[in-house]
Amino acid sequence: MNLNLLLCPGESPDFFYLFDLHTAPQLLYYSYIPTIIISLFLSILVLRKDNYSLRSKTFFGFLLFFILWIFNIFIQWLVSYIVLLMFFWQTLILLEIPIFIFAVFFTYSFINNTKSIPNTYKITALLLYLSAVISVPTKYVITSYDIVNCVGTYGNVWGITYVFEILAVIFIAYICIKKYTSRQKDIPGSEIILIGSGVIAFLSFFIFSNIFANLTGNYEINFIGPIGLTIFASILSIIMLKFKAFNIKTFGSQVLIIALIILIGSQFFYATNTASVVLTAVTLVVTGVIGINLMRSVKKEIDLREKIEKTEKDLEVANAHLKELDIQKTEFISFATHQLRGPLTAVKGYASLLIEGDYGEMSAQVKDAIKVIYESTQSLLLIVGDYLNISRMEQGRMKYDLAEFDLKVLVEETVRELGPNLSYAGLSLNFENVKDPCIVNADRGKIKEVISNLIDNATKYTKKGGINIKLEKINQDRCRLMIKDTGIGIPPEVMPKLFEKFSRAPDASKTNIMGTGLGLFVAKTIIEQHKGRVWAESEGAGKGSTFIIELRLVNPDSHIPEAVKKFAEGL
Amino acid sequence: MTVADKIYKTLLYFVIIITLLIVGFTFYKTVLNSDFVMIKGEEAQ
Repeated sequence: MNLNLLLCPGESPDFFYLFDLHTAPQLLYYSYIPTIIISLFLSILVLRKDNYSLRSKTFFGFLLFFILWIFNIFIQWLVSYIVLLMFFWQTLILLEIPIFIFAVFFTYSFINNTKSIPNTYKITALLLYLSAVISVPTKYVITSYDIVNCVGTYGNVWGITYVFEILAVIFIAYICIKKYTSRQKDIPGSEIILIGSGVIAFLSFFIFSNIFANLTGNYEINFIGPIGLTIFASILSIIMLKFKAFNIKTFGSQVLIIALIILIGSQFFYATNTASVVLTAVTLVVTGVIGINLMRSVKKEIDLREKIEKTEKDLEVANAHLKELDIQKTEFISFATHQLRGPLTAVKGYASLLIEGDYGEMSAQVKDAIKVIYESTQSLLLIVGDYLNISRMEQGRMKYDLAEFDLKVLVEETVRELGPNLSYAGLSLNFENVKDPCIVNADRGKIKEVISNLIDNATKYTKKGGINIKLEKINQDRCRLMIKDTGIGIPPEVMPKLFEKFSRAPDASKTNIMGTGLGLFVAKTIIEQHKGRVWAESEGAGKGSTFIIELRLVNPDSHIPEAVKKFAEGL
Repeated sequence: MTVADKIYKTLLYFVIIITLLIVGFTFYKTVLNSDFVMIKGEEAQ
C-alpha cells in the first residue's frame, strides 16, 4: 500500500491538490480566520504602539505562537492526505509549549516593568522546550493514527505537556500574587490583577478546551475556543494600550471589516449555483464599499481627535510659557516703575521749591518753564503710579490699609484740591455733598486716588461746560458718588471695554495725549476689592458722561465704642 | 555579556538548529517515509 497517497475518508483534494475545503464544518472558517487576523493585528499593534518594549515583544511571541497553533489546527482540518495530517499533528506540540513560555515571560516583564528576563527563566524554558522537541518524531507524542477516522491517539508526552501547562498557569498566578503583595508604587495593583487574570483566563480556557477535545474526541470545541481566546487577547491588548485607546477603535473597525470581507468571500467555496455566486459577489462589493468608507471615517475622526489633543497639549505648553513671560514682564514693570518714581519725586519736589521761590526770585519766563516741568512730572508720576498699581495687582501684592473714615470729608477734600484745575481749564464746578456722615471701611489713600482719577479724567475730557459732583446716601448700607461731565462722552461700542486694561476710546488721544488706558482698570479693581461698584453712563459721543461709585457703609452700630455698647446693654 | 548570557545564547541557537532538524526529520518520517503506526478504525476500538 502506498501510504504517501493515502487520503482521509471522503476527501478529494481539489484545492492546491492538498486540501479539501468542503468536508470541514463551515464554523471552522468563521472561528479560525477572524481569530488569526485579529491576533495578528493585535500582536503587531501592541508591538508598534508600545515602542518594541520587552513586554510588547513577549506579548507578540505569545500571540504569534498562538496564531501558528491555530493555523496548524486549521491545516489539520483541511488537509486531505493522512501523511500531512500526521506531520502537522506531530509538530503541534512545538507550537503549543512556547505559548505558555511566552505567557510567563510576558506576565513577568509586564508586572515587573523590566527590560530583561532572568537568564534562569530563559535557560529553564529552553531546556523544557528542547525535551519536547526531541520527543516530536517519536510515538510518545502520537502513538498511532486511525486511517479510517483520520485521527491520532495521544501519547504520554501530551499528558506531561498538560501538567507543564497547568504548572505554568500556577506559576503565573504565583508571580502575580507575589508582586501584588510586595509592590511599590511602580505599578498599580489593578494592572497586576487585570493582566494576571487575563493571562490566566486565556491559558485556562486554552488548556480546558484542548484536554476536553482530547479526552472526548469532540474536536469541534476547538471552533469555539479560538473565539473566547481572541476576546481575552483583545482585553489584554486594550489593558496594555489603555492610554492609546483611540487607536484600538481604528484597529477594531479595520479588523471587523477585513474579517467580514474574508468571511463573505469564503462563501464562494460553498456557492453551488450562479445565483449564489452573484449574491455573494454583490454582498462582498457592498460590504467592501461600506466597510472602506466606514474605516476611512473612523480613521478621519480619530486623526482629528488626535490632532485636537496635540494642539491642546501645544497650547498648554505655550500658555505656560506665556504665563511665565507675563510674570517676568510684571516683575520688570514693577521694578522699573519703582526705580522711576524716586527720581521723578525729586524732580517734582525741586520744581515745586523753585516755583515757590525757595531758591530765589526767577524771571517769569524761567518760572513758566519750571511750571511745565512740574506739571509734566506730575503727569508722569500718575502714569508710573498706574503701572505700579497694575503690577502689584497682577502679582497679588496690592495691600490695603483699611480704616473707617467719613467719605463725605474725603470727597470734600479731594474736590477742594482739584477745584483749581477745573478753574484753570475754564470749567464750572457744582458740588453737592451729603448732609449725614458716610462712614466707610476702606483704604483712604486708594479711594482718594480713585476719586481724583475720575475727577481728573472728567477735567481732561471736557473742553467746555462743567462738572457736577454729587455724594448721596442711597440707603442705610450704601452711598453713591456721581461725577458728571459735559465732555466728549462715551460711544456705546466703547462702553463694554471701558474698564478693561489698556482700553481707550478711539478719539481719546485727541483730547488727552498722556492717558495710558490703565486708570479706569485700576479704579475698578480697587473699588471691587472694597466690595463696591463702579460704572459709567453716557448717552453717546459728545453727550457727556457720568461715572458712578458705590461703596458699602459701615453699620452705624459697629463704630459705637464697645464700652458704650456695654453701657447701653446694662440699662 | 555574562557567562549566563553566553550559555543562554549558545543554548538558544542549539535549540533553534535542533528544532529545525527535528521538524525536517519528522517531515521525512511522516510524509516521505510514513514510518508510523497506522491502524484502522475497528482496530483502534
